[in-house]
Amino acid sequence: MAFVLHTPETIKQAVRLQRETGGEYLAGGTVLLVRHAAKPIDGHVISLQGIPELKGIGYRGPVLRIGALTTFTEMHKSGLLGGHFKALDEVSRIMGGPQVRNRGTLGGNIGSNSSAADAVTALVALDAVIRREGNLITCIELSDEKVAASAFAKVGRRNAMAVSVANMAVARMTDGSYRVAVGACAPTVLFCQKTSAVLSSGGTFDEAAQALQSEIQPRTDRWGTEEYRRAVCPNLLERLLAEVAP
Amino acid sequence: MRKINCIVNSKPVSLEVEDGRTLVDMLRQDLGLTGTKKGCGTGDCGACTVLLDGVSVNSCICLAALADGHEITTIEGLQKDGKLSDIQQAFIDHGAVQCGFCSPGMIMSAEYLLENNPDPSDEEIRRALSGNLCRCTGYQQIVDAVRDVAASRRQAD
Repeated sequence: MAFVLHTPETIKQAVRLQRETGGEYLAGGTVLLVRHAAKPIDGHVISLQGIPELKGIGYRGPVLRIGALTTFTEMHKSGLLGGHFKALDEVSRIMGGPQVRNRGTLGGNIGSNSSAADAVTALVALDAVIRREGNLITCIELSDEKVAASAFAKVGRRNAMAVSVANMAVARMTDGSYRVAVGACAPTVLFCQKTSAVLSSGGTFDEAAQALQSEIQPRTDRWGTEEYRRAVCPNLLERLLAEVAP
Repeated sequence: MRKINCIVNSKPVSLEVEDGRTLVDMLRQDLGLTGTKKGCGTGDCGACTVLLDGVSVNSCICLAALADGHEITTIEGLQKDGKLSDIQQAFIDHGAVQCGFCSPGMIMSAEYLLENNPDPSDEEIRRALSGNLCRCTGYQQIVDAVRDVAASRRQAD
């Protein structure tokens, strides 16, 4: 119960407060306040919830701009993520549970710094641009001109409210290349460079699956084993490639 | 401590809260609204579900201070003139309450679902309740109760 809460109303104020206090940013709170419940946070917390500039989703030309404080429910309900950005729409539809999607934000998922962050896997595959002001994530941009089709899938201990044992997103780009990203199978969400290169140059599925095995670095943890993760990743790749096929 | 003003169950409320106080502790301890339950305290079980500006949230991972200027509905806010709401009554009629600890959260999630989707499929009902754990009923009676309310509300319209 010990932290001091700040409630700035502009991005500028938030960045200045963070610089002055060294505090942590609070977006939807579905990660930070869970940590606070386990071990009370000392020092300063800077809530971003009162900053209208950080909210909203909409097109500017061919670029879809998603404010960092946009919740997963808002993203899914906007109807703007169907079609080629389906990977992120699927994350918005299934991540956590309803109450978490109502509160959790896209910027917060990135800032949570988790190797199993579902949205980050989708954003890496979609070649998203993440804009910042100082050290604050302000918005995420996706381009119609880059992505032709995309898909996302996760495997967890149960469907709802479960941390991903493995997640994957595949995007087929407008220039014919592929981008594959995997979460929870390496110390960070991983852009699978070799796998993507094999698929982009017309390689077979077996060659791509082999490249994938050479890139992922899964470990056994409380959610799943290394062996299981190695077995499930090619299956996810096969399923997602079928979904994004021209 | 900071002073906050919010609307709780349609009534204006002013109180002082500590910066780190959670919304569930404010509701239960400061306002005496103990219908909202605190289960896991980490946003996993859904027992503390309330509506914040009409949207379902886990009140154990919301800050009371950030409810300033917002509207909160708890299980106590669903009854009208001392009569249970249709969802509350359906939970009783279908035997969807056993130990009862999950019921307030379940009912708030069901309320949120039916406000946003008046004609949910069974799968949609199950997905809408997937953030609420029940260790007694096996969920079937709860799904039956929600389906029943959806049907009677549609009939009434």
